[in-house]
Amino acid sequence: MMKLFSHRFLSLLITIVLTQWMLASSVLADTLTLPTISAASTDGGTTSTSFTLRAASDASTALLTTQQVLDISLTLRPDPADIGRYGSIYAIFVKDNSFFLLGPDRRFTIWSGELATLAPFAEKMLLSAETEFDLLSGRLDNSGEYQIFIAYAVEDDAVLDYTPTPHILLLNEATESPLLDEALSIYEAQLEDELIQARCAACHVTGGLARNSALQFQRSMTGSALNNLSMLQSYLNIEGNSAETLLTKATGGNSHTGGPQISQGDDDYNQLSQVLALLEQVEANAGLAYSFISGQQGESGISIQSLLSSVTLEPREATLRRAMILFAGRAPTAAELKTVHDGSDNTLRNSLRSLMSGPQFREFIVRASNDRLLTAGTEVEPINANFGNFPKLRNLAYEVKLNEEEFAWYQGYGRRIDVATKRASGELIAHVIIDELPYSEILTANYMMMNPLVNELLGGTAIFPTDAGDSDFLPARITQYYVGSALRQSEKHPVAGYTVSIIGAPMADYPHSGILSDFAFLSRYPTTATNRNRARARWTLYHFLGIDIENSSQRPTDEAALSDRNNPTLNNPACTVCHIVMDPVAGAFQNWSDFNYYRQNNGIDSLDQFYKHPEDGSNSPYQQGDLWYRDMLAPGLFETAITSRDYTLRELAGRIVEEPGFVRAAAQFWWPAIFGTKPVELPSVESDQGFAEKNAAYLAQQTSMDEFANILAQRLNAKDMLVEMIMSPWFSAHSSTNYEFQAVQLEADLGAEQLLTPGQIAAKTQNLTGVYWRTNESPDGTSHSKYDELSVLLGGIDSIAVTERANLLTPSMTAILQSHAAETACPIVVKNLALPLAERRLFLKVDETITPLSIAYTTTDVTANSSTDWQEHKLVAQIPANGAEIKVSFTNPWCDYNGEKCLEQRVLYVDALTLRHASGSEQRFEESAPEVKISGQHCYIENSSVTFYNQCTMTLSLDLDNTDNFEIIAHLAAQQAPSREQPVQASIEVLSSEEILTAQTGNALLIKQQIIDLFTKLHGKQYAIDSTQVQQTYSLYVTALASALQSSNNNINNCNVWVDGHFFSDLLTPEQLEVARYPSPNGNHYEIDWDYVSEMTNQITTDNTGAKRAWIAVIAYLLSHYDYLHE
Amino acid sequence: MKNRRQFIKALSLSGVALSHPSFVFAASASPFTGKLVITVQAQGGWDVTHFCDPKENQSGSDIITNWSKTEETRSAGNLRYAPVANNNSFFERHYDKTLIINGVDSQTNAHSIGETANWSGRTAAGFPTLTALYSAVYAPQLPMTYLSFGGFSKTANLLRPTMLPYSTSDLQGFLQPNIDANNGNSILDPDIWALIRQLNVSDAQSMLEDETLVAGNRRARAAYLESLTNNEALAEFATTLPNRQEEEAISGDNRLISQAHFALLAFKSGVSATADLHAGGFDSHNDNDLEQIDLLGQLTDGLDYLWDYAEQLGLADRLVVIVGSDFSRTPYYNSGAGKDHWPIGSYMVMEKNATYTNRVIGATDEEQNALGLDTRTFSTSSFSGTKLVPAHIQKALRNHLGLENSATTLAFPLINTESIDFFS
Repeated sequence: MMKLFSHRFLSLLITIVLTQWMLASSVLADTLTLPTISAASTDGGTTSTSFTLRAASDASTALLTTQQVLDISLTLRPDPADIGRYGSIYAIFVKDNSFFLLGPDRRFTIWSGELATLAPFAEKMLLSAETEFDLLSGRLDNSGEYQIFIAYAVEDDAVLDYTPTPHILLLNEATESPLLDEALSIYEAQLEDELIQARCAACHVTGGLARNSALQFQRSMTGSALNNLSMLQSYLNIEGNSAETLLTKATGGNSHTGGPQISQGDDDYNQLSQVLALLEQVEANAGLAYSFISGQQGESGISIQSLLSSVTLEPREATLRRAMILFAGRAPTAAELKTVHDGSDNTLRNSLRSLMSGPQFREFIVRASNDRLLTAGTEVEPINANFGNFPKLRNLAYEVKLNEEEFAWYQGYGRRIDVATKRASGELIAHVIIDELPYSEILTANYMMMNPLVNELLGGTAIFPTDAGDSDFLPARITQYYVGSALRQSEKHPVAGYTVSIIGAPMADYPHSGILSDFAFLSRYPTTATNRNRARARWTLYHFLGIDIENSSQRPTDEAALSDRNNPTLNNPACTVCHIVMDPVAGAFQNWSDFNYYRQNNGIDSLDQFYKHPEDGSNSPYQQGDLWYRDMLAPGLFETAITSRDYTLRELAGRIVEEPGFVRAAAQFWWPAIFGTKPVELPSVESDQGFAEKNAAYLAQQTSMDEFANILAQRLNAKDMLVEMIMSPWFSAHSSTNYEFQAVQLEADLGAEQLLTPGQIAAKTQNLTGVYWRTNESPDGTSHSKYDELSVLLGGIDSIAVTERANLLTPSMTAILQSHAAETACPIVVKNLALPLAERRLFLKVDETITPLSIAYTTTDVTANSSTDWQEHKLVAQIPANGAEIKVSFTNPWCDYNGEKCLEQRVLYVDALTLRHASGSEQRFEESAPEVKISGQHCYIENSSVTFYNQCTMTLSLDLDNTDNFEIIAHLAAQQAPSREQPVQASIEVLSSEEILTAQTGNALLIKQQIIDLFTKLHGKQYAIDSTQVQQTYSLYVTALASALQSSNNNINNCNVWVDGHFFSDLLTPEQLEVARYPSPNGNHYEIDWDYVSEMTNQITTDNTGAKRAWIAVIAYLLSHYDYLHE
Repeated sequence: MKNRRQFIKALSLSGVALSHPSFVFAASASPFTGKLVITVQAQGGWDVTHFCDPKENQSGSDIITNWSKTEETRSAGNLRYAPVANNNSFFERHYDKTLIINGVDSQTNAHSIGETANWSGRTAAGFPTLTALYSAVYAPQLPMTYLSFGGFSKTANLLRPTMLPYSTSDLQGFLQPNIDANNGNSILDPDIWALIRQLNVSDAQSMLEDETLVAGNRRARAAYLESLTNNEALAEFATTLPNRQEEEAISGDNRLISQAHFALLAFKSGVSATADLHAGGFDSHNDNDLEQIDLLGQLTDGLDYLWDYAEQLGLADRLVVIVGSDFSRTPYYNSGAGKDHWPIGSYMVMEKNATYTNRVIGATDEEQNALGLDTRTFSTSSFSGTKLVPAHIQKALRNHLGLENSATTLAFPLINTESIDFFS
């Protein structure tokens, strides 16, 4: 019955003839009533049921548009027989030939037409003579005709009463927003200059007194009117805000710090009131928006009107995998996937949080931190060993340079200190996040991160394990910093410099202040005599308060202002607008010199000497005891002065972290790392193409940043925020069924698929495949990676000239990544297949003996010692009817060739093949039999037997009438190579004669299962065995297999195992590895004893069956695929 | 099956190996024969008083240049230059192909804004560089159409720049993905590799068929597809590149030379049409003369090499080279013998056999304030005329390069900017 219902109902839906109906005939004041439709019944019986639909709107319904909010309701008048019974009600909207099923949550899902997925939007409803149902309330995004089918069924009855013809609703495209236009018109003409710029923007602006208000205006520039109107709109969208609250504040009420700026009843008040009312109306009209664009089964068709309109998120499992690749460099296990699949969003949250520790996550944090701070791009050494302030460092440098000269110092120490100090800020952030310390500690930390070397040279307080190396970092405080007056210098040596001896006490409480006092941070944004810490201030404000000082106000373009010599930053209003925010922060860095040392002028100050003692002999404003320039604003942050003289940065840090802007800046700081793309900048030129879309994208991102910041603010636990960022659509948006916002989404670069950074590809390949592409271990424990060297070429940064990552592939990047795929494919295959099953990362379902047509396979040691020492080597197998082959192959030929002849070599002799049936009957096939073929090079027939000197095969073709079991006996003899441990080996294999592409052998299925596994592990995609992807990949496998088998040898050409820096350390025992590699003369890298490893490498790059080469092709394909390069 | 190749071909044609319509790799388009545009970005703010807008000290004023205490301004052709660094040989060699535009007001003293203004034509973000625009209009099909060695290289999403690092020698071994650089052999069987490429392409095409793709994903997938189908042309280019040792032998420690070498080889191979070369370090707040003279020497050495090698490769007649900076340096020294930021700077445009060269347009007064320009006669005045800003130069360059009427260019209008024909 249900089947019948399904067919009939669907048939009606699909074959309906479109009819243009005039809807105006039944228009009420604000409600459109569609003609009542009498029902038909799926059992063909008579029914008196009828359905009436109404569309109500605040606006006129004479001409419905996509901009109107509609309340669509249904009046059901059931057949009298059903009154008093419980029923289920169904509604299906048809738009552009796609079906959308209304659900109980009043959201739509695309309906495939399958009965199993047909579900009511209301069930167990007590039916009365006339029952009202609300179908939806919101905007319908797409113009055109909607066909609406309704049905109901009473409980325990499969018969449906339904609309045999649909209700038709016509919507027109809304081409403009008159309300918004009107608001903008009034705003631009009356409010932007006279009220907002003249009064509000005095405080409600970056760095202004009201900088923490939700209302932040842009100072005058070409696009500021639009942007500021958008800001008002955004303000109204915040829960709890309204036109009334804003007007109250503007008139001085509700504790408005700025007092009254307008008065009730004056022109400004009235115009602002009018604009706000229009904006509220725009907002009210927005509401829910329903989209009806199909294209992907099973996706929701509902949206909230916003940039994220009708965005569909990827499944939770996909989010887990992508986050795991980014944070842990590995793919989730089946159990981990199942957990999030079966669980809730909170399950995913917990899983994500558990990823936020460990070395890969630490590396993620360090890399992401550097992407913002760019400390790796510091071009001079952050800790300068030429100064004596760290005596141990200076004296060691002296000693090394004296004995071994400058380069030895750089190689042995200088480079390592540089690397460590350039990482220190990232390590600090990683330490804070991983250990779940208050995020504010990135600025307030009374310590820095040191590795053992830096700890030793700076007198750090960390205690390291004895096996700690340069890449291990711990928090430590500096205890051995001496100001100049506490030191005495020796005579200066021309190469080695001088030594220092200590005559005073070290600084008792070194003024660490997190990143602000980080040597590399100070060095990356250096101070000069005239810059006076402004670069440090500019980037402090940017990174930690989200204030982009260069874009915070209209820049002076007036030549006179720009060439003003009368201390313009203090006196010229065109300049002070920015400098009033920046210069006090610069002052907070007053104690740190241009060499990043504290009070480097003998512990007195770090002021520029020419300021204190002008070259031209003029008077200096300097006075004894000054720490800062008197012709600049005093140290402080915004309106608050910094009172400390010694610990200015510590005080600055304390102030910064108390600012609401700190958590907001944190959200901005982590945005590119998590979402793989930079946040949209506020557009500033109204006439620019795409201004509106950019603006919308900007506002949407700012709203999300506020939400992320609020989460961080609650506990200052960065993991809380990072988890929510990953849970957001910005991380996991997969598809969108609303084209209205496509341009905005494009501006925002909204999408889940991120191009992996070079470091992430490295970690992914290493963890998923076990191969370290061109990444070599060094005797000192460090690792050198081509991924790092290729960084910029692969879209990375050098932190100096190239400071933004590419997030889209270019042809050259793709070529390099294809090289990566081609080069790694062979090491991945041979290494994994050489490892025991438990140690493999890939290929858990197959080995090299499994090929599609192989029914049985064995290798056997032929230990005979002469050409007449015949042995029987057996294989029991089921041989299929209608075609099969039995192959005997020589698998390990070897010759010690001296240029003329083989001094010794292995030889295999094959006398015959015998098939023995269980019944006892048997048949012997010699080389002369018509069913037997010999193939390969250097295979000779001698005395009715066959001699194999090289990779030769004897093939017996069979065509049995019935499938049956046989014992296959190969009559073999051999000549051994005395110097080789391994005896002669042969393989015996039974092959089906099925068509390989369609073969259904057990092996073919295994291979396809293995392909599915590879897709899962490498791409994170689950495909069915009969899917296009699996079939296509299987075809590639088969093609490569055929290619291998038709080639003239059984070795894999150009299998460059050396490209895997861990190849030998993973495959050899520690004892073997000791012999196989040794440090190079300069100690920089390991040399490989290729003679020693050749037998092993020869063996694992031998491919008798062709299976390895087939898998190499598959791996090269998968690693060069879009889905491998993006997560 | 007769042989492996036939077998593979048969599989492909059978539709089994490729379940999607097989993709025909883009047939190689006709070679690009237009002009080749290079910008050289002297990042940090060059001191044009030490270069193409020489200033001598005036009594009663601050010292503007130390060199003018003992030396005088020199000339080559109609160009005047400061007698420091390698300026003498540079201007003597190249004056006939050089136009100097002095007195250009960058309208800012901030580095990032100065870069934006000088290389995109306005202080607000959102516009592409001239080079990106040129590549997008004339040569979007080239696989590395727009090269950038750093600095300001915004493209406004018109295309994707090829970002290049300090050393480019690594590319030699990686632009031919299936070739073992050590022995020139194929890594995978070439037919199998071709099939893999074909599969990657057909997969990428299929992945774009989903109409519901969110915009960012669509863009990423399209970029992958385009980069796949467009990178085979790079293989031949790779064979022309120097290895690390050769690169060092060519450029010594002057990175600009290695950049010029790479860009010209890319032009010659037909894989690129524009390049932004990067010469950093000009932010000489301390020891201005020491730093500027050294860096200007490297800059002119790099330009010498660029023109010499372009001649050698037969590209010189197609080359347009634009040299500029964020802004210039103050017309006086600070207490650290450095110079700070000053908005009035210069551009230098170089082109062989051009009618507009061996000329200086625009001027500054003795204290490096911009003079007004009569845009008809190019005479200058302290009292009247147009004050040049980067938009004027960028607009003129757009016109000179024939970009002004393309739909792409019209999307980035330099509004309220007078058209000045510097290049007639």
